[in-house]
Amino acid sequence: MDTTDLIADEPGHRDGQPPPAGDAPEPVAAKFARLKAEWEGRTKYLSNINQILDDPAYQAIIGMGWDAVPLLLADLRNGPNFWHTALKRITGENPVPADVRGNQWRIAVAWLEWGWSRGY
Amino acid sequence: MGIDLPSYAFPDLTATNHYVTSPATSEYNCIAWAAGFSDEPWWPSGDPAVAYWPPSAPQEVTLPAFVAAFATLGYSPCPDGVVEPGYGKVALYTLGGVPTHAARQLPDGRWSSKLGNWYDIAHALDGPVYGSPALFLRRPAEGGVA
Repeated sequence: MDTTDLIADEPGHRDGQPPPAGDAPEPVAAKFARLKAEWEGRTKYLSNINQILDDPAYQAIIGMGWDAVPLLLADLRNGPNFWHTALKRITGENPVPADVRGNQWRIAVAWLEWGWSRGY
Repeated sequence: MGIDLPSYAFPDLTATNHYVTSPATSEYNCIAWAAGFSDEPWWPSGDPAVAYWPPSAPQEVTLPAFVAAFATLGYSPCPDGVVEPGYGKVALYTLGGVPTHAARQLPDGRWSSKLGNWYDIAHALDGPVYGSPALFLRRPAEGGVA
């Protein structure tokens, strides 16, 4: 599922800030797609993993909680991304084997298998 | 073939002074690429599931820690980035004294860089996002290959 296709043509807000009072709540998928696009736009040419994961939009995705889990897993089906930290923080679990050594494909597979075992 | 880059990040890049050498991927970053690896990012993140960092190197984002990391591959500091026959070189970049980037020297003297999660490029790069090379490292080339 390409979550970026779910971005509606609606007013957005940067850095995970909520829409103004009175506006309809932003749909979960659209919010995730917006935050993901913001995060990737700011961090795609960074190698500093700490800066990538500390980005406000990434942290806002973590703040979405369990609503974000199926979207994170769906995104991983498209290929590796730095979603391990977000999934670990949200779920409190860590299915990644200790010998993975940063291999992003193995990390993605571990989380996808975790998701499949839970019906995602 | 050049790539479309924000001019504020790479002001010295033009359509003709660099070329893309791989597609965008988050499987590895610039430090891993400079170290010769493309299957995992390298960074002292403290979490081995996020990025690899040599166990003997300090888990800190400092120039000495990065020098120690590359020392595990046989690199040691050298005076400059001039091509030296028989040696492979790496340039460590800092911004405000903090390591930001690493590039690996190509035989023709240009540098090969992975731009974060973006492409690899061959270039002569200096700019506000990554800073400037703060230190050059070298190691003896093996079989003529650095």
